[in-house]
Amino acid sequence: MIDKSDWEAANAALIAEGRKRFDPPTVEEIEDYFGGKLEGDHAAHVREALTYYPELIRVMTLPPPDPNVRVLSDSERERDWAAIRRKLEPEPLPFITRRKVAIALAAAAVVGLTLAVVMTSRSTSNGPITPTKAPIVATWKFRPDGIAGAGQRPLQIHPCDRCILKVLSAYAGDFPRYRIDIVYLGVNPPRTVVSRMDIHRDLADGTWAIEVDGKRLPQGFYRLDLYGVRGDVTEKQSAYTFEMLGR
Amino acid sequence: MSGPHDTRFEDLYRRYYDRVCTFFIAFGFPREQARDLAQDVFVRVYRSMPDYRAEAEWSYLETTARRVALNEIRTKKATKHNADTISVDDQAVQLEDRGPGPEELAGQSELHRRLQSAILQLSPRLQDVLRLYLAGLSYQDIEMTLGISEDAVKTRLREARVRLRDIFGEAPEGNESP
Repeated sequence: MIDKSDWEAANAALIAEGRKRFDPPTVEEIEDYFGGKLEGDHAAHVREALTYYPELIRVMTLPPPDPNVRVLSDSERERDWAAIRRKLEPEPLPFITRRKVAIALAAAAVVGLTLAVVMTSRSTSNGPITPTKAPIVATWKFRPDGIAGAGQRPLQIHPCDRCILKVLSAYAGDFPRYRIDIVYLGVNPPRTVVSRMDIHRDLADGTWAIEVDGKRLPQGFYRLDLYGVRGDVTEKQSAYTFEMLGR
Repeated sequence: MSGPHDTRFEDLYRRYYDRVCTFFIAFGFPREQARDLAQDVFVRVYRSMPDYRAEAEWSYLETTARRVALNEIRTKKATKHNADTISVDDQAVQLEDRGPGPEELAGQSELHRRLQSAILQLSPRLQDVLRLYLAGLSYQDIEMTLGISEDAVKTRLREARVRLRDIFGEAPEGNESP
């Protein structure tokens, strides 16, 4: 008679093999799957992947605990409250960033002063003043793919010289750092055209922002990927598809 | 922390923090980690206070707690996967810790290989149910995951056992009744 633990061990080995073929579904996919929002091949793929990650299934199926349960002592509860308050304090800028900010401000002051001198000399010499074209700075706010349901159109972006792309994600975990990649989808395989590390979440509006030179985003379709980074581990958090319109 | 929602937030904390901690412990996290993760839940809740609707307090916390747990497990999986691929020494240590000697291990691995081979001969729909059952999920969990009725879960498990007995001569024990 073969022990059940042997069947379980054999099954665990098959699950380990399966994990080499299937990455765990994203949090969005898991929530959408259990919420009945996925259909067709996508639902089938997530379902099959989940069978190799039973611990993720348990998180979704476990009923909530008794509301009257108390597991912490008063002192633990007070300590945790203090810890939460500390986590909510705004982080001071690191020294290197403060230096960068100071240098940038100094440089901006020099440029501003130079421009003022040039403009003053032009206006006093009564020469023709060539109108300068101001750069187009545009800010776009993204919601993750799938939030608006199937068949949604990707966000369309008008050409900009400096494009500030802000992304929202209700699903992203707390990571010390984040990375944003912008992938051009007009070639096969798709090509990463922008990759920016050390992105931090803006506590004021809860977004992650990246500023991109518009020249790097010619007309076409793109996907913006938000990653969480902790040590050597990089975890994809959300994806956003957008279309860059022509100039 | 000095925002317009602070009083409401503190009230939420006082009423629900223990329950959120218990939730993480029930997910299988050690107590200290459960507290860390529960803190993360409340940090997220605070940051989204402007969008938060008071009438669905626990539901909001529950959804956030499940998200934090999913994220944590997925991140750990990635870490473990990385470690598995680079550390041969760790595998050696794990084998030493198990107890059985080399011969017993060889015998076990041969048995497990044969059991795996038998399972792989089942149809995919039977494999899916059996995989989740042997991983310790309840019938209800399997039902929710595969989108089939509990009766269908039991029927497929019985079918899998019959097939395994044909293939291998034995099948894992079960208690599902018709």
